Amino acid sequence: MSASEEDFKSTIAEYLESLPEQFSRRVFSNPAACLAIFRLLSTVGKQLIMSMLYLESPIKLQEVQQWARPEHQRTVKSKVHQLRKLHILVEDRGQVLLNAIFREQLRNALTGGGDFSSFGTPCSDGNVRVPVTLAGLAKYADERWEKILHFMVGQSGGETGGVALSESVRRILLESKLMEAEGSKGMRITNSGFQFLLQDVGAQVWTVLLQYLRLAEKQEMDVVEVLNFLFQLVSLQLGRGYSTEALTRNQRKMLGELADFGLMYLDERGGGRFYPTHMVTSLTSAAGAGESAERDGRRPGDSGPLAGDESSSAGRGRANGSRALAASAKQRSSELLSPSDKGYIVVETNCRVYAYTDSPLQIAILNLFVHLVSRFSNFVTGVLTRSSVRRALSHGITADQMIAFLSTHAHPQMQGSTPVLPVTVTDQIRLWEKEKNSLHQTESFLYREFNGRPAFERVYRYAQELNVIQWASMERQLLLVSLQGHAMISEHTKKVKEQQEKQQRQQQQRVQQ
Amino acid sequence: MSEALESDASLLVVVLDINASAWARSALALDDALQQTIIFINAYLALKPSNQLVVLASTRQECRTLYPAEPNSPASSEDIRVYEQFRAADVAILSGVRALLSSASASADQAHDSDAEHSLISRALSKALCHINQMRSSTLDAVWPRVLVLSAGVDAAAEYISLMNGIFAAQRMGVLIDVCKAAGSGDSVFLQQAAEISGGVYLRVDARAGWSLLQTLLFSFLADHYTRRVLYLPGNERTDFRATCFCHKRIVDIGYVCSVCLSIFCRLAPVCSTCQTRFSIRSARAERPAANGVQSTARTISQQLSTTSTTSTLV
Repeated sequence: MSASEEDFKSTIAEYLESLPEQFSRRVFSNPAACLAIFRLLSTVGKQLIMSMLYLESPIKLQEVQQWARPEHQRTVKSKVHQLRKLHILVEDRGQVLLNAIFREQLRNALTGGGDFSSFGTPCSDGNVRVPVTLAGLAKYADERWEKILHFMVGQSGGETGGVALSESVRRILLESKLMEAEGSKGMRITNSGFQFLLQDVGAQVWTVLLQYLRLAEKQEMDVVEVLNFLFQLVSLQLGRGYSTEALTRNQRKMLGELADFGLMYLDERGGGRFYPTHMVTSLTSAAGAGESAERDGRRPGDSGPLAGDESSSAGRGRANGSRALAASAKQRSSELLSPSDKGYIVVETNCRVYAYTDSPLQIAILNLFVHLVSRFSNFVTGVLTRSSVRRALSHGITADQMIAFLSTHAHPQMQGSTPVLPVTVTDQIRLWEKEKNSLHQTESFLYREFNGRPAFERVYRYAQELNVIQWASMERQLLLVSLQGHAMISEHTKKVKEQQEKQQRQQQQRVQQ
Repeated sequence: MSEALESDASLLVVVLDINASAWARSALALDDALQQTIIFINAYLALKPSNQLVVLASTRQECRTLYPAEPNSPASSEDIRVYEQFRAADVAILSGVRALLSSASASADQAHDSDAEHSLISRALSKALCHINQMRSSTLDAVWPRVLVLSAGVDAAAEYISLMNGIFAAQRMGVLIDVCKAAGSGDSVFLQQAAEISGGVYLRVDARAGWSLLQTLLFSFLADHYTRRVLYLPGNERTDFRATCFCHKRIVDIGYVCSVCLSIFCRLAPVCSTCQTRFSIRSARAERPAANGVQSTARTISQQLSTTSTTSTLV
C-alpha cells in the first residue's frame, strides 16, 4: 500500500468527517457502508472499535486512553478524536460508547444479520447465454480506464481510435481540476493531472469516486444515497452478476456513469444486471487484485478465463489436496504482490531506465520524466536526465512521486534488493528537485554603467537603507534591486538629478554673471 | 527483525481444539464458542484486505486444515447477507468442524477414558508452523505471522517434548503464539509457556465468572504486531514454568537434569535416555545424602538454556 493511497483514504475519511451527524447516521444504517468505513480507518482505530463492539455499557474515556503504551498516548488520543469526529464514538460526560447504529450494523456485517440486500442482490446465471468472464471483465475495465488516462496524456489519437469520452467523465475530469478546458472544446491536463497519472490505480479510483461525490452534491443528489451505494459497490464480489431490479433511479444513473470509468460492467440483456470490475472490488478487498496479473498472462499454468458464474474463491485452485493449498497460498501472495507482479521497470545506477512494456500508456507516463532513447517491440530504454526530471518537476510532479512510481513498478528482479531503486538514482532525483526549489524567481532590476564610483555608492547606500538589494557587486559596480525598490530608487535618482541640474544651472548662472 | 509497520499484513493461524469430551464439561457450549470464534475471524478478515487466514481443527484423532478449503468442498450456500469474503471462511469452518466431529465420534469409544480430555496441540502447532513457513516463502511482502490456539482440553504430558520443540521453533521463526483457554477448569501449563516463550498472550476465559469469549477474543487477540506496540494487552500474570520429565511424562517441581543435553528426569537414571550419556552413579550417590535427595531444581526452560546448572555428573 503506497503512501499516496493512504493519503486518499484519509481524504475520503475527511469527507466523511465533514458530514453532519444526521447524515452519518443514515450512512451507518447500512452494514456494507459500516464495513467499508471501518476498513478505511487506521489500524489502532479499528482495534479500538473492535474492543468496544460488544460492550453494552459505556466505558470511561480515561480507561480507553490507558490502553495505550506511554509512548503512544498521543497516537491513541488522536485516533479517539478522529472516531468522535466521524460520529462513530459518542462521548457523554467522560464516558464513551460506540454509536448505537454503527455498532449494530457493524455487528450485522460480521454476523450476517440485518438488512437483506445490503451486499447486493446477485442473480442466478441460468438465463445468460454468454457468461461474463473474469478475464473479459478485467480487459473491459482496463481498456476503459486506460482510455481515460490516454485521453489525459494526450495520446488518444493512436490505436484507441479517437476519443469518445462520455460527458460525465469529461465533467468529472474538469471538476476535479485534473484537466482544464482549453478553447471551445479542447481540454488540457493540469499539474494535479500529472500527479494523478503517477499514482497507483487504487488511489486514482478513490480520487475519482471522491470527485463523484462532490459532483453529486453540486447536482443536489442525495449524498447519503450516493455514499451508501458506493460503499455497497466496493463490497461486492468480483465476477458475480448483480441484479439492477432493486435499484433506485439515481442508483441506476450512477451505475451508468461508473461504467464509463470501467468500474462496472453493465449487461442490459435479461432484466439488466451489473458486474463490478476488479478496479472497484480491490478497493477494500484483496480478492481480485491479482486478476489483472492473470490477464497479463504472467502467471504460468493458469488456464484461460474463468466462467463468470464461479465466485473467485470457488474458482481458485483446481488441483487436489495439499497442492491446492499451496496453489491458493501462492495465489493469495501474488494478490498481495499485484503491483510488483506487474513490475516492468529496471533502473540502473547510471540512471538508465529499461521498461519491459509495449503499452503506449505506460510509455507515455514514463515519458513524463524519462528521456526515452529507443523503442523496441517489447521494451523501451531511456535515461533519467536533469532536463527530463526538471520538466516533470515543472509540471508539479514531485521527486517522491517519481521514485514511488519507479519502485512500485520495478521489475521483479529489482524487487529483491533493498532499497529497490539504486540509491544514487533516488538521491539524484531528490537533488534535482532541491536544485529546482533552491532557485526562486524574483522580478528585479539591474543597474549598471554608473556614472562613476560616487554615483554607484550613493545609489547603493540608498538601496541598502531601503533594504531592497538582491545582489550587488562593488568591483563591477552592478546592483540588482527588487521591483518595488526600483520605483523608489528611480524616484530618488530623479530627485538627485534635479538637484544636481539645479546646482549646475546655478553654477552656470554664476559663471555667466 | 525489523518492526511491524501499520500497513503490513498479518497471517493468523487459528487452531481450534474441538475435543468433544473436553467441551462437554465446559460451561460454554462448543456451538456457541464456534459462533463467537467465527465472528472473531470475520473481524480479523475485516481489519485488512491483505490479512491471511488459516484455520486448523484438532481432535484427539486428527488435525485438519479447514480453511483455506480444499476445492472439492461443498458449494457455499447463497446467503447474500454476508460479505462474500467472510462467507467462504465461515462455511468452510462450520462444515469442517461438523465433518471432523462426526468422524471423531465414530472412533471415540476406543479412546481411553482418562485421556479423553487430553488435547493434542503439538500436531496442530507444527502444522500451523508449516503453513506459516510455506506462506512466507511464497511472498516477498512483509507478513507478520501469529498463531491463536483456542484450547479446551487438558495438557497431555506425553506430548510435552514435541510441543516444546514446536514452541522453540515458533520462537525462532518470530511467530507469536496466543492462547485462549476457552473451556476447561484449570490453566494449561504447556500453553502458558508457549505464550510466554513466543511473546504471545495467554488468557483463560472463565465462562462461569461471566467472561465473554467473544469480548476476550476481540479485545485481546485481534491486535496485530503493530497494534501490540501501541496498545497494552492483558499480560501473562503468572506462568507456571514447571517442566515434564522425559521418562514418565510427569510434571515435576524438582528433578534431575542431564548435564549434556538438559533432558529432565524425575528419577536418577544411569544413562540419559535422550543422548545416551552415562552418568557416574557413584559420585551422584555420594552427593545424594548431602543434598537430601534433591538433585536439581527443574528450572524454567529459558533459564536452562542460558545457565547449565546441573548436579548429575558426567563420566
